[in-house]
Amino acid sequence: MPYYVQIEGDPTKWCIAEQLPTNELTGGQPLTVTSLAPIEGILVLSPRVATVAVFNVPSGTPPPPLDIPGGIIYVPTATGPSAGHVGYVLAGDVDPMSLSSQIAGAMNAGHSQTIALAGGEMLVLNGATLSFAVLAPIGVAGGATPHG
Amino acid sequence: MACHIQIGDDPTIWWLTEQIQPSQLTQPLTVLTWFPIRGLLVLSPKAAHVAIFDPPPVLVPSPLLGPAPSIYLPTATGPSAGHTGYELPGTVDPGVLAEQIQALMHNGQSQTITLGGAGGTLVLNGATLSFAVTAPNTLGGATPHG
Repeated sequence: MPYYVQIEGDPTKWCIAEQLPTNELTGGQPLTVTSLAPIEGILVLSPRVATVAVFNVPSGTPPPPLDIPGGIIYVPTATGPSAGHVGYVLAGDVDPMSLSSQIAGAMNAGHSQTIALAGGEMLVLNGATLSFAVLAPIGVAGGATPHG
Repeated sequence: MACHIQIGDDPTIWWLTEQIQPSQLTQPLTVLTWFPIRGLLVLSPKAAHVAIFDPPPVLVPSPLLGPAPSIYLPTATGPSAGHTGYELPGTVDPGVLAEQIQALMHNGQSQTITLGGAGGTLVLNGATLSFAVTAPNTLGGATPHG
């Protein structure tokens, strides 16, 4: 049964495949969950997140995901993702799945992480304050996974 | 004397019923707010920044209407008509919830809250939450939490 989650001030309602363990969201380890929409990918949630709301999906059918131009990373914004604005495009040699583990590690340690973007640009994430990130595409769906 | 405050990255300017001093921001604080939501604003000492303004010499506008009781949490856009936060079950006392949030901010712990309306769950992390507004209000003055 899919659920919606809304994280801090980002207005996006993320449709996820599994129920979040709400008693493990804060103070423990970063969690990774499969996001179905608006971006189909892997959502990495910080244990330092200030607020998380979890809702039932009214219709039971998640909306279709947005098209992505390749490997991308979405980080919180004031407006959420939309068609043509789904986040930063990763450099071609960056694997989103591996990057999700690295970001979880950065959140766990409270360290920063520099990520190579397409076009030679760079993105610096502060693991101590980043509330969540979504990486796409991914191939395999899985349950909520704490990162040690 | 009333004052206005703006907290962190949330663009809302909150109209408070009384003046607060920077020296009060070293511990969780609960104050009455009149606008844009009439309720109880619980402010964490961990808020990244708080701007305190003198109010303009004008009448307080009418507060936004929304589901009641409700809880507003920081957003990048602030509250607006029809978007005043999460609906709470009718059995929730916003005053009691404000006290619980103040305690969370004080001890850095988390709390799970059942939402009203279509249902759902809200997790608040007292260690990082900068502020919350519960509505409708219960009457009372600024309450430092020791």
